[in-house]
Amino acid sequence: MTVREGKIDSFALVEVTGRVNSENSETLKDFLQELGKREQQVLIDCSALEYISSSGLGALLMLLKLIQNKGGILRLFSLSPRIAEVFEISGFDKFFPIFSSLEAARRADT
Amino acid sequence: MKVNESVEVKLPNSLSALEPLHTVVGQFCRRRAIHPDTEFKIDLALEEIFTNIVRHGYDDSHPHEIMIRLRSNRDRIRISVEDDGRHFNPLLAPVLDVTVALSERSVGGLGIHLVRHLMDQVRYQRRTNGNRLILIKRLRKEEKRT
Repeated sequence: MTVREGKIDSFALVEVTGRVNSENSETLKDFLQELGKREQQVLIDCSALEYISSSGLGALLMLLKLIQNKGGILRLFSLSPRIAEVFEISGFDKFFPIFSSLEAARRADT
Repeated sequence: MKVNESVEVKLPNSLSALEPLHTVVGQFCRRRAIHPDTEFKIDLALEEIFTNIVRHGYDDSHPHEIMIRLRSNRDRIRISVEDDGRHFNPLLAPVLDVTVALSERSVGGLGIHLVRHLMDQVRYQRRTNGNRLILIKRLRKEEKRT
C-alpha cells in the first residue's frame, strides 16, 4: 500500500494504491487522521486500490466522520467493481459520495 | 488445469502472515483457474477470519499456529480455518445492521458481515482444543476463468 497526497482546486487529493489489509491499515488510519484534522475538502483516488478489508474501511469511516463533523467534503472516485462491491455489502456506499472519475468528483454539486 | 486441488498451510498467529496467506490463495486460485473476482472474495473472507483469530482468539502471548486448508472440486471451494484459541463462534455475533446512520456506524462486526456475504456457506465447529470454521464458495460457470 502507498498513500500520496496532492492538491487540486481547493481539494486535498489523496491516492491510495495497492492492498490495504489489517496489517497496514493503521498506517493509513494515522495518515487520514492527520489529514482529516487539517483539511476541509478531500478527494480520494481509488483507481489503483486493489484490495481493502474491514480495517481499511474503518480508516475511511473515521476520516468521513472527522470531515463531516466540521461540515467538510469527502468524495471517493474511480473504485474498481470489486472495491465498489465491498462498499455496497458494507453499506458504505450510502455514506460515501462515490464518483466515476476525478472530473466528476471535483465538479459535483455540493 | 487441475479440477481437484488441495493445499494446506500452517501460519503463525501474526498479522505479518497475511501476505503469505494472500500468496497461497493466489497460487491456489491460479492453479485451479478460479476467476479473479472469486479469488478476491476468498482472499478477503480469509483475511477477516484470520485477523479475528489473531486479534481476539488467544488469552496468552505465546506463538500459535493457524491451519488453513483449501480444497476444490468442479463446483466449489471449501476452506477450513483451524485454531487452538479460546472457543468462539463468530456466527453467533449479532448481525450487523448496515442501515443505521453514519454516527452510529462502527466497524465492529463488519469483518464477519463481509464473510457471510462473500461466501455461500459458513459453518462453525467447536473442537476439543479450539475452533474450526468452514467456508464454502460455489463456482458458477460465469465465474470461472477462461
